[in-house]
Amino acid sequence: MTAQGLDPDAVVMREVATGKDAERERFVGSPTIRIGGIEVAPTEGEAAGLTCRVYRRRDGRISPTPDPEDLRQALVDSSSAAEVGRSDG
Amino acid sequence: MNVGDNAPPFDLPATDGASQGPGATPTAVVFTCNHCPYALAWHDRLLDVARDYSTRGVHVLLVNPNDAGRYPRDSFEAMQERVAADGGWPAPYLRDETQEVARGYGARTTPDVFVLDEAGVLRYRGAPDADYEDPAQNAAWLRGALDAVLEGSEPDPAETEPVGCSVKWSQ
Repeated sequence: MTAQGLDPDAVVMREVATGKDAERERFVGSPTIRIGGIEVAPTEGEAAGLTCRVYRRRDGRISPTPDPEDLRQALVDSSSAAEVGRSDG
Repeated sequence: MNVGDNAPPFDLPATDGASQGPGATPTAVVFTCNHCPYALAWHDRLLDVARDYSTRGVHVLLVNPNDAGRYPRDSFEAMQERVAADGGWPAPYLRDETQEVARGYGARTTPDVFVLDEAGVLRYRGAPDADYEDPAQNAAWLRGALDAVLEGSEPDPAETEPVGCSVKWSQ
């Protein structure tokens, strides 16, 4: 985040503790990472629930966390989008 | 259960309809499941162990203890579908519906590996190897423990920290 000019302290950790919370938050498993409310690794048709999330690394390996490059790209994209928003405003 | 203890016997239903449990041969009991990324990351390595050690008289038992009420992807039907989709596995996939076996073993995570000798004594407990992200690790701790048991020596390490998702206990 620092490399993208972002503040690491801006990360907010939220515990989703109940099935109702998962439904309300459209939480499909832990960890779910959103930047500006947008999923780093969008899912389709995945049911909400208190479960462990399965990610695929770029080389195809299964992992409990997203590929670091995907995270980095999501940060770049969100920074770019924010920049465009500021320019448009 | 600690290394050196007698492991509780069990007999659980497998996806093929048969019931299985540890016998009078060295056995690796692996608590695992369908939905945990750690279990999935290690899965192929565990199946390779089952293939490689079957000719040496080792029995590998994969046991799913998760609460299917809260985690439908771990239901017996989902287990059967997964094995069928793979065209069969080289190790039986057993359902611990009551979670009594997992509790008896003190399983904490999926995966959590327990290696028993031919007398049913626990000789190794922990992770399959040091890194779920590195297939080259090749379940080295599990293989080392099985080699030691087959040679009649003590595994080193005899215990490691299990790594994975918590067992999903019924509430």
